[in-house]
Amino acid sequence: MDTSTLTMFLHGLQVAVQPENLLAVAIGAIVGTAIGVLPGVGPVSAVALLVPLSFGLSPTTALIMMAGVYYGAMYGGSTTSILLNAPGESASVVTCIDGHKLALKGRGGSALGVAAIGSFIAGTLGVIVLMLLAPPLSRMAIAFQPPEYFALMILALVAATTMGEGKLVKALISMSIGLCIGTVGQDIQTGTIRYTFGVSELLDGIDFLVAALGLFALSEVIWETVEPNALVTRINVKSPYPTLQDLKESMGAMLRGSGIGIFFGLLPGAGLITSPFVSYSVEKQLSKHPEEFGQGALKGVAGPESANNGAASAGFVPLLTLGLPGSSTMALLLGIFMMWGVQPGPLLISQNPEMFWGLVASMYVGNVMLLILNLPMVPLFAKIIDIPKPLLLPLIFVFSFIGVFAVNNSTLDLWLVLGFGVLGFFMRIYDFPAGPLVMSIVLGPLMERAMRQALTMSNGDPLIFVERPVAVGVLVVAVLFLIIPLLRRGNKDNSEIMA
Amino acid sequence: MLKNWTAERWIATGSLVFSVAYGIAGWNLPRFTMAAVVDAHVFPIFVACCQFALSLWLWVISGSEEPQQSPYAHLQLRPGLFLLLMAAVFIEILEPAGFIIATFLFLAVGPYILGWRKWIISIPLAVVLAVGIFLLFNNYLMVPLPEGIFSL
Amino acid sequence: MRLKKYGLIALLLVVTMVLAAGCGGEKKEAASGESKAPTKPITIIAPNGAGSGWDLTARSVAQVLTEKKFVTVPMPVENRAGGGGVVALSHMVENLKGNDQNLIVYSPPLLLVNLNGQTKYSYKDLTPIARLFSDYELFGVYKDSKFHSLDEVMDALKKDPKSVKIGGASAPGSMDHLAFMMAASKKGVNIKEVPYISFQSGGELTAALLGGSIDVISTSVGDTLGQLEAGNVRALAVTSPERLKDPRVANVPTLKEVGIDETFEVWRGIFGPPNMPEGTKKYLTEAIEKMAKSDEWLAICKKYSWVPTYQPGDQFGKYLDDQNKLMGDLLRGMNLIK
Repeated sequence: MDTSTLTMFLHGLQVAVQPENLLAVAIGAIVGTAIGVLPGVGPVSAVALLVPLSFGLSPTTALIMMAGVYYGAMYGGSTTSILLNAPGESASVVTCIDGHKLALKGRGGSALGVAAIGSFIAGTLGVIVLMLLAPPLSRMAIAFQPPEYFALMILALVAATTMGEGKLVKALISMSIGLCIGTVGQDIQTGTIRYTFGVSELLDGIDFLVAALGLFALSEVIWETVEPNALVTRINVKSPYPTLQDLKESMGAMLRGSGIGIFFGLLPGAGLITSPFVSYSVEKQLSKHPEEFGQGALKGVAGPESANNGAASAGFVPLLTLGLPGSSTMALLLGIFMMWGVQPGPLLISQNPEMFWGLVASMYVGNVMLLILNLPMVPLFAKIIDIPKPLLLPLIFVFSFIGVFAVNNSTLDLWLVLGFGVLGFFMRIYDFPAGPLVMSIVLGPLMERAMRQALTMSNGDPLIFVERPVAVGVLVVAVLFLIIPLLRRGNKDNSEIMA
Repeated sequence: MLKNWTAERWIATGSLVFSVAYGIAGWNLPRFTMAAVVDAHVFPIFVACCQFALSLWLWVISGSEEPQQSPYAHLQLRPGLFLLLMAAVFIEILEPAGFIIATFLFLAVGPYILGWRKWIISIPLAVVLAVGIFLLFNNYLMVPLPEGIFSL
Repeated sequence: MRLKKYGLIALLLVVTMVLAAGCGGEKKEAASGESKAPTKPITIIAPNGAGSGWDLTARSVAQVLTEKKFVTVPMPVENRAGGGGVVALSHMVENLKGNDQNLIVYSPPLLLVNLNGQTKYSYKDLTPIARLFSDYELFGVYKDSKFHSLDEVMDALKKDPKSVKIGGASAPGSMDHLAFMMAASKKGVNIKEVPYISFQSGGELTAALLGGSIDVISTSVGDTLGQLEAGNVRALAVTSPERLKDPRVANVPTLKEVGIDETFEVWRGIFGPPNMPEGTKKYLTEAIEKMAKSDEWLAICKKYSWVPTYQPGDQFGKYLDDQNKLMGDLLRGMNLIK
């Protein structure tokens, strides 16, 4: 290991734990959590919205505060996903599925605690990998070109079908509808306007957060308003904290999730989106009780949440070695760097090591800070779900609306949330899973783009997808993901016959 | 015949119609005037075909037996509908009337619709949240929420 | 029943508000040439998401104006993304006519969205306050590329238009695409046959160049500085009228130097709503002029390698007329519009 890297990181850590910087990260984390719990406000929007807070601070302190906001918002997003079924970013869509079921069973505390601890473990492992292996891993980042991304999107879509239970055909129809919704807007490859019906707000397409919020959070709210028992039922909050048993059970998922997240995080642009699904899918397939997934499996929270955070940390690798921001939040943070006169690029590290390692260290400190700040808050947060339903449900509505509106000042987005809420309600009645729909809204455009970029590269020759070893490798994994559940089902039948 | 269709078969039929309409609209998209290896209509048409095939699959497996008693017959739709209506009012008045009024209205009336009768709690809560969130966002977080009539 | 009552009250409220707002707009300002200081916050609209170029411009302007007290009221930034600025433009023209509390930041897409028919509104509907600065496009290749000059690229394209893959960070018909095709058509390339691959961001574009998926990038100078400095990208030409002052790109030839008599300027300007009250317009024009000359502003420009090309509103308006004609001819020449 490069000792200078370690020295630099320790130096960055030193900067990050100075009192005023600790204060900054604490304030950032608290405000970030406060904004992040607004449904529909993910880390990107939270950081962007809160940039003005850092005006007037010294560059390093300001940067550290933004790191706190970033982690705070991420944590806030998981909190609302679990408690209210309201995701704040693509990663927490996966958390919703089992996290909210756990909360309804009174195990919200366990889910929240496992999410926080899993994130922390993944963050720690991510930073270690970053310091040890950054240069050799950087080659991976450029090995992924449009054909490989196309293969990766296929893998993620396959993983997304595992998110629902019930008839496979219904999950596939959900997914296909999501792909249709994903084609709305201006096509980036040719500028052609598709399916906007003359509404200029739709030119940029339908934001998946809007869809996710409607399909998950609002449909749940609508469901509870019409289900006569739901309004009066109070949830018996069982454990304010995860028990040792919970931790033991989910430790494997956390470590696997961290590994998956770190691996995918190395790919600029795709890691944060794909890794939670892949992790979820892997956990479901490894589990002895796959039927628990979707009904409140702790591993279904621990894995994806760790993956999400691992990807966020590993995203520093392409940034560190190639100057390529791995996610939109990273790009935004780099934009903020520029406000302070730091040029993002491959030379960032050698020219501004204090600032860069200060950022990495403060990201890490932010992680620790959140664990410290939030673990005592878990029981309190878990109580939110105990607010009388007639008061809570309108509040969820209003907070969802504020979150969506604050990001883009568009009332059309609010109508869309409402529309997706109603759609989600009917999908629930007729047993169509919402997860695949939301995911394909995100993945569809990425897949289409990668496919068309790749085919343009090859002048239309489809062999490009099978001539490149990495792309083939990813496609093989996708096929395995499809086959393994079928094989397992077969095995189970056999063993039942044997018994 | 039609009377015996299950809900699933109706959905499959709707989905078939949708996939055809979507595919035709995709085919009618204008072609790019410069070089494009894969033009904008290709992917939508592919998706339309998938959707068509999947709907057909659902159509075939969904039976047309005697419709059974729906497990959701006991749902009370009225409060949900009223709440949706209130949400629509909220969206409509948010920009013209402002965040404070829209939020106050929604938070005051919403709980009542859902059977909450303790005005002594819901009204002050609505006032505090509406004004508090507005001040917090506009003055401290520098995220402008619509002022509506308060800017006049 | 109670609900209906509330609904009615709400509806009445809406009607009152709309009427009140309408009347407010009708009121005539005292039409003197006096500059009138605002008393309420002035919102700068960024027609795109937070962190975008427009957003950065809006926030930088707000920061300098308020910190240096050129404007004494708060200046929040509001993001109204959609359709390359179309959504914000409609909002400006339809809802904020005659308003004195809003500004908006724009660049060439303001002209392009009108020319290609995405909106019926144009720059003529807005009140130009100032041109703030300009950025330029840069054409570059990977450091190990076989191309060492723009001429070699163009020759290869003339032989086989599909042999060289061009990439940019914006949609076809937008700046990155137009700039390169303009240069290529001057050199006699059959540009209708040249495939162009667009990427979502400068980062993805660079990754594709480093990974060998594309051969030539056309993107804003600012996006490439980091990679140029690290030696990963070899710059072939910039589209500025004369060489840029930033030492990192000072040795890159202009298009004119490589035998293409064209320039391509990515201006950024700030506008008021239609019929902005004269007093407010004057006040803001003066404030922004002061800002444009301040050391703080120049320091920010240097950071982002923006070229300060300040122009007050009336001159800026004439400049826009010229640019609009230029862009229109270019798009027609490329068969992108009729």
